[in-house]
Amino acid sequence: MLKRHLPIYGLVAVLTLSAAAGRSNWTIDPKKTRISFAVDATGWPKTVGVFHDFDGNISVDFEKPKQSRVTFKVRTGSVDVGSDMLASLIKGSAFFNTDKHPEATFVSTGIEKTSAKTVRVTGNMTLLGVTHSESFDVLVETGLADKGRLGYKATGAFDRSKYGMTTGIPVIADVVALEITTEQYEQKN
Amino acid sequence: MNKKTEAAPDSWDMVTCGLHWISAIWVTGLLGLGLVMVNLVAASGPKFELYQLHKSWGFVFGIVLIARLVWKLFVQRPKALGAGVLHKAGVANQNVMLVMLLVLVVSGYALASFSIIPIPIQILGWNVPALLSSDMVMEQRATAVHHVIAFALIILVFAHSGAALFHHFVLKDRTLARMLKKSS
Ligand code: HEM
Repeated sequence: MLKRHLPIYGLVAVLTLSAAAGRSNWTIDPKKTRISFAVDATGWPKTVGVFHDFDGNISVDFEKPKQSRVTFKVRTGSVDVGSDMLASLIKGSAFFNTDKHPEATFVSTGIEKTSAKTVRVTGNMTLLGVTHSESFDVLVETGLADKGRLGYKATGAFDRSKYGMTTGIPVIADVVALEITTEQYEQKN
Repeated sequence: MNKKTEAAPDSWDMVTCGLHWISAIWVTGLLGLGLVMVNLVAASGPKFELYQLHKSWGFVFGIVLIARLVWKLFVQRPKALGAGVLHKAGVANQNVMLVMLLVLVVSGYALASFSIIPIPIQILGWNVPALLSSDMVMEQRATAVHHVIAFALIILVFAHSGAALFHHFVLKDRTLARMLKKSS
């Protein structure tokens, strides 16, 4: 099995550097973060996978929400689909090609408020070395803020073919659904 | 080794007996595994592992089957213990089952090989080459053949085992016994 490896080192420093006025130091809680995807296929159940090895950084600017920033870096080799055999197929050259492209990243470029509890985060996603703009709808669970925590649930979908991952289309769907749930807590220092 | 011209022996030879019972266990396993993996296992990961297992064991079974068919050319059937239409149907059933097994191995290999997703049949880390080029329509056809023949085989296997038990317990002849041990 893949060892759970959830580094948050350096995150505090990054957050401190970006801590402008109104920006607070919140770090994501890796234990409460789940980055998952789901892909459908013909005559086959949905394949749902999670990544165990990633870094994430959410810097919230409460005064100018538009200046908040979100970055995620995922080591695709840490994919877990409930089977080592299936995981090695997915890590291979037909899909993630982890030898050549060990990381997938997301760097936000814009955030807009869509309702009292939701925001839409747009950013550059890089997969297999190819970068495209993708948007995710994020539900912000502000109720947790009382306890010095904030919860997020981001959902979105993208076409893997845009990134050159075309294996199995159309038997395996082109569209990949992503769901990221995470919690942040305030740094006390 | 018996030639066809010699008088029919009383029993099956040891190699035929061995190949018969190895096939019986192997085929039951592949039928069970095939039905379970397709119809009962819903989670993608475990399902994938069972498919891979079925493909590997199915392919290796093909080698056993070829050995069995080749061996069959050189041995003679023992003396018939029955006669009439039912007896002829029973012998025909045995031959049809062998053909069906061959069709299952060939269609199984074909559907895996036609797949547009490169998932090799693996035997002890060796990837069996996929010699047929990706073709979604042909994959569906081979899958349909594999499916229909597998279900037909299940019916014939029941008829075959039922007949063997009927010989043993009702007719009380040596039909089943002589597939299990040499004549005394
Ligand atoms: C090279 C050998 C073989 C390969 C690669 C192979 C491969 C497969 C595959 C991929 C499936 C799934 C088809 C689907 O998605 O519906 C399948 C189904 C099945 N196979 Fe095989 N197979 C092989 C040999 C055999 C043999 C020898 C038997 C029986 C003696 C067998 C019995 C079955 C059964 C019962 C099913 C389930 C059929 C259904 O419910 O649709 N297979 N096989």
